[in-house]
Amino acid sequence: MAQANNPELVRNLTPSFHKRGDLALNHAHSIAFIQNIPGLVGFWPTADKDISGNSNTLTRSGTIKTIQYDNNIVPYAQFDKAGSAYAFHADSAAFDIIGNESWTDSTSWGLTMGGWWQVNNLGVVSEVLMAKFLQAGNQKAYRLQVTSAGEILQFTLSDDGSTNLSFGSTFAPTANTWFYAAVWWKPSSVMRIYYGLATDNDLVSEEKTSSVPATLHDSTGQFTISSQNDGSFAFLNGRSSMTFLVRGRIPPIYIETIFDLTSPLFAAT
Amino acid sequence: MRQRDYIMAQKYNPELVRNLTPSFHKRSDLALNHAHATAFIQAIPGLVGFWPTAERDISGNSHTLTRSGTIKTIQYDNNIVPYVQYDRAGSAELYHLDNADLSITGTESYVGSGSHGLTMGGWWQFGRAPSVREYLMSKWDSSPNQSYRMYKLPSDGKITFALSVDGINTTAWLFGIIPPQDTWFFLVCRWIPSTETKLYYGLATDNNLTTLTSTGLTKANIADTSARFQLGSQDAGSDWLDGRSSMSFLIRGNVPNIYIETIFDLTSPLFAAT
Repeated sequence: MAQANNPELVRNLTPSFHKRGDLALNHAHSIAFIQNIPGLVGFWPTADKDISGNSNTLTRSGTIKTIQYDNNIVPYAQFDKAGSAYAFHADSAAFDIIGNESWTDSTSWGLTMGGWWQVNNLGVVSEVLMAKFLQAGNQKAYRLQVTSAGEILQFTLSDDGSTNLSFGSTFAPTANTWFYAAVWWKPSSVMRIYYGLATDNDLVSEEKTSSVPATLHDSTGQFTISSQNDGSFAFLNGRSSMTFLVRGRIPPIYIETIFDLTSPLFAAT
Repeated sequence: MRQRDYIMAQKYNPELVRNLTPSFHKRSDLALNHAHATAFIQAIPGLVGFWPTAERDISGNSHTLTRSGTIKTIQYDNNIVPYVQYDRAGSAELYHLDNADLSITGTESYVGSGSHGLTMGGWWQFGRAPSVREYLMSKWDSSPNQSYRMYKLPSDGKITFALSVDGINTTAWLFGIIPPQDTWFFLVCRWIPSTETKLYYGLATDNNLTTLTSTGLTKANIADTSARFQLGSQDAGSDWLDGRSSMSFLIRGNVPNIYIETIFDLTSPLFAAT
């Protein structure tokens, strides 16, 4: 029987049941969901405190604000490019994702990182979202940025610390608009970029399958949010929220679930 | 009756709710509410510490508290609510030595405009009638090491929040709330510099959150002192609580109303089941 959706019935039952669109519950679900991901290196809701359980709290630098709410709902970090704002963690083994770790099954080797972002001044210079990417001394490893040319999302890896192996999506962020971006690396096979707008409720992915590195360089650079080169270049003028870094390529359904659970919150801003 | 007329006349149907419950999450599901609340609080920006059941901090900041005196931190009320039991006669308290994270001043450069302040609270029980001062949470020692504190007055049991702008002088807000004895109550105090101090109070059984706002007496900052942070006492061990705590949290910044209301909504079913 073709049972139709009955909005009146939904309204009547809502006080008794959780609605899928409930912001607080989706927010809570997404937090617990991310915390349980194997290989989670860090989970920074507002770019400083790490709630992954690994104590990889980031250090604030420059004109950065990490305690505030968009529309009294979405917690976020605000980065001021002019104030050289970024958050970082000194190089440590936790952030060195090589892609062949002995304690990771080969079917899960790789890297996943992402979160929600806003870029406030497009078209000026490249703005790095997340990176462990130090040009000096050939210490590049991984980077997600919005490029100045074309203003698109770009995912870059380096297997030797000097060579850039990049893939650019067709997605060009709109200024001052929250977007979800996650990148996914399968060694020797795939570099993929996921992106979506909260208001679209539609997650898109694009990928490349050629010139994909087998391993990543063990970089001595800082892990950074909102810059690269240990906080000396390509600062973000914008916002971050719910950012995460994972050792390993998590199943795509995880990336999609994170988007599904978090997007209602950002759609409410 | 046409089909559309029937749909529009749909009323609340308890039988339908019972039938659907095995397939859907009910809003009153205790375990889910507890899980939701725990995760929800963990991601609040500026969360300094979150001590849901005992001394262990699950905020991510490693502010695990030290047990002192006759205190029990692992037990369950009605096999449901985890809580801490404080024995006043046994000088029971939990504390953490001073550090920069626990020193909330309301002037931090990395806090966004409009989000400065302090928010602290949790669920509590008083185990005795008002007769002596009993402290819930504090970072308060003798002058000049006074920062912030929340406590029960000895005279009538009213809840009071106080801070010091210089570590010496005290500004106190007395709220007309008198929690009943041996009853779980939700209590949050939120201070916004130079603007207001607000108390949120609710009983689990009422499922109703009351707010009391004071805008007539404002202060711009809190002193950064060397006092310990404490649950169940003040002054490095005095004016001990005779009672219980659960789901206690300390936050740098003023948390939006909807966050505090959500914490109450998510946690109250658990405490209503005791």
